[in-house]
Amino acid sequence: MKPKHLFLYLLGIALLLFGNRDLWDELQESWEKEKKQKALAEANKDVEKRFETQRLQYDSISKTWKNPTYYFQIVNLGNLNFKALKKKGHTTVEIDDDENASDSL
Amino acid sequence: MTKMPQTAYKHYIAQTRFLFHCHIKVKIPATYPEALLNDCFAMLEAIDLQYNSYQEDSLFHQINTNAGQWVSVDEVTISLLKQTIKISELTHGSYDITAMPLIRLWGFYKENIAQIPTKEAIQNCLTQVDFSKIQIDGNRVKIEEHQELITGSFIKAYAVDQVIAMLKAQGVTDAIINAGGSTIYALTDAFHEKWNIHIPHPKKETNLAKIPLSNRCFSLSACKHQFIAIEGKKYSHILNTNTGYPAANLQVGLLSDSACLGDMLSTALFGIEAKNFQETIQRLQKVFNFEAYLIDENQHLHQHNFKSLLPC
Repeated sequence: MKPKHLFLYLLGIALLLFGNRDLWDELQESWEKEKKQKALAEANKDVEKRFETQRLQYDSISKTWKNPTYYFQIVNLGNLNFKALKKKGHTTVEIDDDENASDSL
Repeated sequence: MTKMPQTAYKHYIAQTRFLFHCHIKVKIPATYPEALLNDCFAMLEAIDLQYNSYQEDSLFHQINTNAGQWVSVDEVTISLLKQTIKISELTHGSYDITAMPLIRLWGFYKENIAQIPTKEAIQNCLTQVDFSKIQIDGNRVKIEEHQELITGSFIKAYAVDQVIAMLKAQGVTDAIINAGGSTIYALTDAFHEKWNIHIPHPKKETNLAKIPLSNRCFSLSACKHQFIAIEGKKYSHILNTNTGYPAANLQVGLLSDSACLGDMLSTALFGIEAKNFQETIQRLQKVFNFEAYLIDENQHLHQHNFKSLLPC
């Protein structure tokens, strides 16, 4: 192969790669996309690790469902004074509107 | 060019909570902290628990559950009892705090009432309804077996009086407490001279009149919403404890310095027969200072010294 032919061949390849701007952009875009997908897949993997599935077991003698995981047991709070836990009222801002008398409570 | 409004509205903070089986609204100037509103409701709640006969641990409930025995109570219970007895005497028993058995007989706590009680049942029940059988000895009280006290006609108003006293002690001079629409106490000062109160029509869904209220309480007893229906006929929830039958009147409005006294008197006047209104009022006014009107079953207005009614 003559050096002239070799030069022209390489010039053709270079023009094909670097002369076609769209192709170059498309390639870069696809690499970015691939990178993002990879990062997302890794993030999902991490998130999944933070949750665990707990299986309830049915006790046929006491006819109740139980969770064997100790930190997931029902805690007995004893006698709660629910009246003391009553929500506070909602405060509104008003002017000196007339009041209505009524026996409707 | 639009002019700016000339009136600068004063702002208030308000809260409404459900206590004493009704919605109670307390409204004070916005210059006071929200904590003061919470204190008002804490006081209402404490009085409800301590004195309401419907509350299981209250002093009046203890008197009821120990009927036939002496029960030690506090000074407040004694003074409330003495006040009710005084009004019962002045109304010749039309108002009676021992009316609970009669109220149960009429079925005010039942859902479906098929028929009115028989004459015989009412007469039997009236033997238990007698304020003169309440015995007071120092700080001890005793009612007869089968007797039962009901505080429904005054305990909410007593609580309102106590909250008003607390607000005054805190320096509040402008405020309003609307307890279920039937007990409304207004505080006013030189900068806000009156609150306006709308009085409902006894039959229609409109207002009958309005009254200015200033450092007094307006008490309303009516049967527009509070009644039982038996065989298609409406019966008022307020009973005439002399006859044992529900009062026929439509509405009583009363102005007084004390909410507690006002509620007791408006219930008492609602229970009487309209023809006895003027005579009863004259007897009561020898002891208590108040203004009142009564609208009878024929929608006739009877009034005595009630100068404040204004057309709407």
